[in-house]
Order: sequence, then structure tokens, then C-alpha cells
Amino acid sequence: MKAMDALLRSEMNITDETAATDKDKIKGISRAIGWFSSPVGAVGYAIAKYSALFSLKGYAIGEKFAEWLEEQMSKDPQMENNLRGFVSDLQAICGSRNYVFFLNAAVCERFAQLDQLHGILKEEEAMAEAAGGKLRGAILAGFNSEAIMAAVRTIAFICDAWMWPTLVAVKVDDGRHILDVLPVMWTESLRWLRLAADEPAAVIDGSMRLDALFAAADQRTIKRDLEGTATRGGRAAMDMDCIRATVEADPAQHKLVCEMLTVGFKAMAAALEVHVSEFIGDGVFSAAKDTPKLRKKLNGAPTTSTPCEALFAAVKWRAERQGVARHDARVGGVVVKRDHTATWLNSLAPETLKTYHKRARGRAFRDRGVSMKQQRAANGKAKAPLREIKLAKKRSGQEKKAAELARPTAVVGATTHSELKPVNN
Amino acid sequence: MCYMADGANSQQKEIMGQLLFRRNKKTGRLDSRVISISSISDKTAEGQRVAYKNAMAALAESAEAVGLLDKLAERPGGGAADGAGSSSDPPAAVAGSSIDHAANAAAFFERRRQLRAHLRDLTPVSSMNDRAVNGRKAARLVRGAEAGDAMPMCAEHATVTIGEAE
Repeated sequence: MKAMDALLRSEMNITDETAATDKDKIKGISRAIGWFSSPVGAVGYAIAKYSALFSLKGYAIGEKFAEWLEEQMSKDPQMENNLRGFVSDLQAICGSRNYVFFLNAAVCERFAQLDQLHGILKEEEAMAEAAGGKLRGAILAGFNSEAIMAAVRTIAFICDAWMWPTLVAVKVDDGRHILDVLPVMWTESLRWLRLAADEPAAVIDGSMRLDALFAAADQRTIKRDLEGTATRGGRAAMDMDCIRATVEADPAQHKLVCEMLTVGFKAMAAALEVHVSEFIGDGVFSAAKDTPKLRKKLNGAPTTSTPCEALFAAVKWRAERQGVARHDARVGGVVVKRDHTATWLNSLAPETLKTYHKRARGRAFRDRGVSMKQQRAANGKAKAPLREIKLAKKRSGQEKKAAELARPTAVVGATTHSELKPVNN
Repeated sequence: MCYMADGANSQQKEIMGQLLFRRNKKTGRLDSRVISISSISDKTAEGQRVAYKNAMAALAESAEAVGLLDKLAERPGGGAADGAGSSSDPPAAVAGSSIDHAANAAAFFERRRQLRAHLRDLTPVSSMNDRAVNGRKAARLVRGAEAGDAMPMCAEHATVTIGEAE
């Protein structure tokens, strides 16, 4: 994505010199919002922050937009049959960052239509509503820029052709061994990225998608020919049809999107070779190095570490509902549910269950004998020595620096020629 | 057995989740269990290794407290824990006219002790992590592996990283 930024800057007549003068501003933005400062991703980020319905943060514009839309649609029942009402298709910024830019890109294009978010934002701008004015301005600027919308469409194509098939393939649901999945998947993915960089027009017309290679290589794929607005997949397909039609109807837009896709795919191929080098070529987990010993070692390994993220989502869910609960009580609830401990306990004979409850209760009394205040004190005490070492190191460095800076002031400068002394150096 | 861990923030508290995965021999699918979700008092790799050891020690203690180890120790061969014995081990009590109760009890307690030690000292052979250097180092320490020992990178995190490519 960042590889496309340079191309976008040149399209927007932002020279390298101009970009350099804005360096501090860009650095500030980067510090505040990390990699979301990418111009290619800025609109997607702003829209999600501004109007995602299920976001816990933001400006409550999503609900206002949905209400506005319902009112508009009530005037014309025919509108129920198109994509207009599905405001919830925009994912909130939480969990995996994939959603923010890639999975939201096609929905952002939909929202950029005048009978969508674009419409209500223009109305709000006319009314000079103050809330969220800067974000609204950023979104409208994006909607009105062909170059920025070309970037949004490019990301939608990358998501449709590469990212979505990849995310589907890594979610192994049939117990396949990691070595039967990732070496094949990443090798095919690299091959596809190189091919796609040379044929971006085929990606735009939808004839070139990674899942075709995955299906041929016996990797996991899902049905992509869903129709209608009843499913999220069907609506995504409709979004992509609209984007294809828009891009193909405008030669300049088509050329720009092709260029962005080529730059993007080349950068992604190079990144893939670095980040998953162990699975491709002659990497340690590649097909070339597949041995029974390695298979045995990785027999229990899943393809992703996302179960941890799912665990944290469950903790967060409980935290929102049990704000004052103790941490151990909260996570206990999460673990019991996730690992089906409660189901197992309920399957036991009543007498056994009673015995287990009695023993567990005894253990709980012991553990909970430590109050949260005492626990915090213990944690603080455990962290203090490391903190002191770090502080001492920092302070020592700062003192040295201060002494170094103060040193010249201690030197009395010579005021006459006769005061000068030869130093012979 | 595969080790997985990651950190997050919850209610202004830094927490770490640790899981273990293994392949179910009957279904062929991967099973997982949460070992702990604890607040982090030491963010170093060594701190994470200690957190894993503490979690496994607590797990062994809990398994013993609710009598699970007793059940496993009663089984011929010592139970289902990986590497803690196999069906080829001699049965605990041989049916016959002369039953040595004292010997059987001693064998039972020994098996239970072994099971507890096995659970407490369980060392995963592989791990699955994102690209975070500290997390990967911690996973290596938990596995008792040497520096430079490779481990697979999470495919979803890799997908994001590749998408961000410069």
C-alpha cells in the first residue's frame, strides 16, 4: 500500500520537495495514527473512524447516516433492492488491520456515491455542522479526488483478487497440516503477484484472481459467485461490479489503477519474499525441506496466531460488561467458556461435580485472599527494580549530556592575544 | 504440542494470553487449550517464560486438586498425556490371587507424581507467533530452543505485512 503513495503524490502534483517541507507534519501524523498516515489509506481510515456503525469510538455519524438513509429510502421502496441500506457493511477499526483498508475499500467506494455517505456529508457541510468537521472535510476531499478514489479502487481490487483468497486459504478448517498449506499457499501467492504485476488489466476485469491458483493447488477456497444483497459476499460482488464498471468506463482512471496495481503487486511480491521466506524456495519450512521429522515437530502448529486475538476479543467483551470485576474472575469466565470447561463439568455425575466444586471453591478462596490492591502492590514491587535500572541508565545519560553541554560555559575565554597558549595540536 | 502467546491491553492493563495446541489423534484436527490470560508484570522474553512455567505449575496443581491426575494415574499406562506413558506400559494391577495392595498404591502415587511433573514441565516442540521480536524470543525460551531456531510466522499477520509493503 505504501508503495502506491509515491504514485498518488505525483498524480496529486505533490512534488518530493513539497512532501519534504511537510515532513514534520507527516511525522506528527505518523506518530499519532501510525501507518494510517499513508495517503492511500487515509480516506478508508477516516470513513471507518467517522461512520462505522459498530465502532466504540468515533463521532456517531454512522447512526446519523443510517437514519438519513432509511428516511431517503422510505420515499422510494425500489431503493430497498439495491446496496444503499447496508451501512453495517463498513467494518469498525478493531481487531485485524486488514479490515480497515482492504475489506472496507469497496464499501468506501459505495459510500462515495452522492446518494450515500457523500450525500449526507455534503448536507452537513452546507449546514456547517461543527462536530467532526476536520474528518468530514478529509473524507469529502477524498471523495472529490479522482486520484484518491483510484487508490481506494486499487485497494478494493487487491482485496478481491489477492487478500480475500489468502485470508480464506489460511483459515484451515479440516485439520490439514501446516506444511500442506503454507508452503503451497505462499509459493502460489508469490507466483500470482508476479503475474498480476504484468497483467493488472486482468485483475481489473476480474479474470485473474488468486483463488483460481489455490483451487488448482488444492487449497481452501470459498464460493465467490454469490448473488443478491442477502449475503455480505453477494453485496461485495455487487460493489466490485460497480467499481469495475467505473474504472473501465474511464480510460484515465483505468490507466492510473493499472499503474497502482503494478507498483503495489511488485512491492507485495518483494515483501512476501522477505516476510515468509521460510515457506518458499529453499526456506526451512518449504516443500523442499519437508521431512517426517519436521512434520512431527509442526504437527500441532496452526497456520495463524489469531486464536490469541479471539481470546482478547472475548476478554474485551466481558470487560465492557463487567467493568468492576476482578481480572481473574473475568478471564476465568472467558477460559471456562472457550475451553468448554462448563460443558464438561455439567456432564459429570452430580456427586463428582459437587466434589469438584468444593475443591475449586477452596482454591478460589485461597487465590482471592489477595485483594486487587495487594496484587497491584505486588506487581509494582516486581516492576520497580527493572524500572530503577532503566531510570538510572537514562538519568546517567542525561547527566552526562548536561555536563557535556555545560562544559564550554566553564571555560573562560581569552580576551587578549597574550592570553593565548600554544596547545601544539 | 505447539505454543502460542500474544499480548494486548484490557482496561488499562497489559495482559498476555497463552495457549497450547495439539493434534487430536482421533479426529485429526487441532485442539487448543488456554493456559493462562494473565496481567504482565515483566514484559521481557524471560518474564514470559517464567509466566509460562508458573501457568503450567498452577495447571498441574489444579489438575491434582480436582482429582484429574488421580483418574489418569488409575488408568493402566498412566493416562493420555503425551509422552507420559503409553498403552504398552504394564497394567497397574494384575488380576490374580495375590494382590499386592501396597505395591499398587506405591505405583499409583508414582504415576501421579510423574503425571504432575510431566504437566508442570511440559515443553512445547513448536510455536506460532506474529513477527514481534520479543514474542518470538520468548517462544524460543519456552520451547527451550537455541537462538536462530526457526519458527513459522502467522499467516494472517504476514498477509497484513505484505499488504502494507513499501
